[in-house]
Amino acid sequence: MTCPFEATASDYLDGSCDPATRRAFDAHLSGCDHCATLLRELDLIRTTARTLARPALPAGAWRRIDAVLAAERRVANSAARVSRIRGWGTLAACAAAVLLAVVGSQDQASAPPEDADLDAVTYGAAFAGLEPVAIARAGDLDGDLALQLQQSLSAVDAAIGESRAVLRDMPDSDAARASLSDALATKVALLEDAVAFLDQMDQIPGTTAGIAAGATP
Amino acid sequence: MITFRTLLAAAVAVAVLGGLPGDASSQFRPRQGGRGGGTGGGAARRAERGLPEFTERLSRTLDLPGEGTIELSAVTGNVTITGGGSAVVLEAVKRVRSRTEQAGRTRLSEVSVEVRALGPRLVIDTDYGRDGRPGGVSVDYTLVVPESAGVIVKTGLGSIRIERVRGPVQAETARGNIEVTGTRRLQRLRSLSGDIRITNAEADDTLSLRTVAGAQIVRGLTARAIEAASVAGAVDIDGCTCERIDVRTVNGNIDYRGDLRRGGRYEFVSHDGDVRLALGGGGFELEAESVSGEVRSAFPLVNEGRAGPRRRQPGARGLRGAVGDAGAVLRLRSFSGAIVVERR
Repeated sequence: MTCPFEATASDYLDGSCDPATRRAFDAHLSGCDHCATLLRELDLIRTTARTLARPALPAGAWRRIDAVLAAERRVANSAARVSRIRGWGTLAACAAAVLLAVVGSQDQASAPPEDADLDAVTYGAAFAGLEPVAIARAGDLDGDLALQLQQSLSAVDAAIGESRAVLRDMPDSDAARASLSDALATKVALLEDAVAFLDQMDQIPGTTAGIAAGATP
Repeated sequence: MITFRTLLAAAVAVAVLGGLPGDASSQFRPRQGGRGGGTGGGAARRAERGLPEFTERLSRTLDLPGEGTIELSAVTGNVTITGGGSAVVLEAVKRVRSRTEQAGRTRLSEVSVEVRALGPRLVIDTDYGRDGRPGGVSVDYTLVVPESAGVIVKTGLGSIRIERVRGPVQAETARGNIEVTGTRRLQRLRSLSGDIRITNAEADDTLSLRTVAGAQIVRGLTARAIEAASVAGAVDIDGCTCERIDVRTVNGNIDYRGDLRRGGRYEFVSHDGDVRLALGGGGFELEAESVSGEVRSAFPLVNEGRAGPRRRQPGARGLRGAVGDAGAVLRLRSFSGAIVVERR
C-alpha cells in the first residue's frame, strides 16, 4: 500500500463510507495521482463486472448447502457428546466408525458422486481419524428392546436406501436429498442414544455390568 | 432380560450387518440362548412369573435445599415423583421373585438405596450388591418432593411418572413409558422403546423429546421451542403454544392440531409417515413437498406455486404459497407419506 487512503477507495466507490471520510477522500483525490488512478481502475472493474452473465446456481444448491451445514452441526454436536462419554469412548468410536464404514460402503455401491460428496463432507469428516474397533459384543443381543432397536435401524437403513434410489434417478430432487440427510442424521442419533444409555447405566453405582439379569434367587 | 451394554452391540451389529437395506433382518437376529438368555430369557421370565414375589419396603424423609435438584438413578423398576410436600419423602419397594422365601429375603437385603446430599443436589442411587447386577430385583420408587424442586430421573427398565413439579425436569428410560403432568420447566425426555405423554405442562426453553419406537403424545404444552424426534413412533401434538417446533420421524405419523404463532417457525418432517395438520388461527407461509405422497391443503394459497421437486419430477407433489398474513413459516416434508393441512 503506497497511500494511507488507498483502503478507502473501495468504500468510496461503493458509497459506503461516512460523509466525513468521503469529504476527506474527495480532498485527497485532488492531490494524489495514485488514488485517482486506483479509483478509475476500480470503477472500470465494477462496470465490466456488471456486464458479465450471472452464473446460475444449480437447482437446490442453497438447500443442499443448508442441509450440509445442518448435518455438520448435528454431527459436531454428536461427536462432542460421544467424546464426553466416560469409559465408552472406544465403543463410541467403534459405533461412529462402523457408521462411517456403512455409509462409505453404500456410497461406493450405489450413491451418485455428488451424493457421496455430500455424505463425505457431512459425516466422513466428523468421524475421520476414528479407527474401527472389533465388535466383540454383537453376539449378546437379545430381548424386546434390542429387537426394537434392530427394527428401527432397519427402518432408517430403508429410508437411506429409498432416498438414494430416488436420487439416482432424479439427482435434483431436493426432497429426496433432504430425506437422505435426515435419515443419516437419525442413524447417528440412534447410535448415539444407545451409547448414551450405556454410559448412563455405567454411571449408576454398583451397576458396572449394566442391567443384565442374574439368575432367580 | 437385556444387558444395557448389548444395546450398543445391537446398534453396532445392526450397522454392520444390517447397514444395507434388506440385509438386516436376515443376518442380525437375537441369539437364542445368549448371555442374556435370548428367547430363552423370555421363557425364563415366564417361569419366573410363576414364583412367589417377596417385597421389602423402606421409607425416608430427606431435606432438600430450596430450588434443589433430585437425581434418581435406577436400573429396573418404576419411578413416580409428585410435587407437593415441604421435604422429600422417599418410599422404595424392592421386589424379587424367588423359589424360597429365604433366598428372596437374602437377595432383597443385598439391595440398598443410597442417598447422598451434594450441595443443592440430592442423589439417589440403587446399589444392587453382589456383582452390581439387579439379579431379578426391581426397585419401585415413589417420591413426594417440594414443588420447586428440579428432577432428573434415569432408569433402564421401568416407567417414569412425574406430576406437579415446578423445577427443571429431565427423564430418561430405555424401556418404559414416561408420563409428565403439570410440570413447569420441562427440559428433556428420552425413551428408547416406551411412549412419552405430556399433559398440561410448560417449558421455559427448548423442550427436547426423543423416542425410538414409542409414541410422543402432547396435550397442552406451553414452550419456547419443541424438538421432537422418533424413528418409528408417532408424534401427536394437540393444544400447544410454541413459537418454534421441529418434529422428525422416519416411520411414525405426525399430527399437529393447534394454532401457529406469528413469527413462529414450524417444521414437520417424516420419511414414511403421514404429516397431518389441523390449524386454527394465524397466517402462514407454506412450503410442503413429498416425493411420492399426496399433498393437499384446505387453505387457499396466495401466490400459489409448486414446490421445487415437482418442476422436475412428475411423480412428486408440492405446494408453496401464503395464507393470510403469512406470519408464520410452515415447512412440511415427507418422502412417501401424505401431507394434509386442514382447518381445525
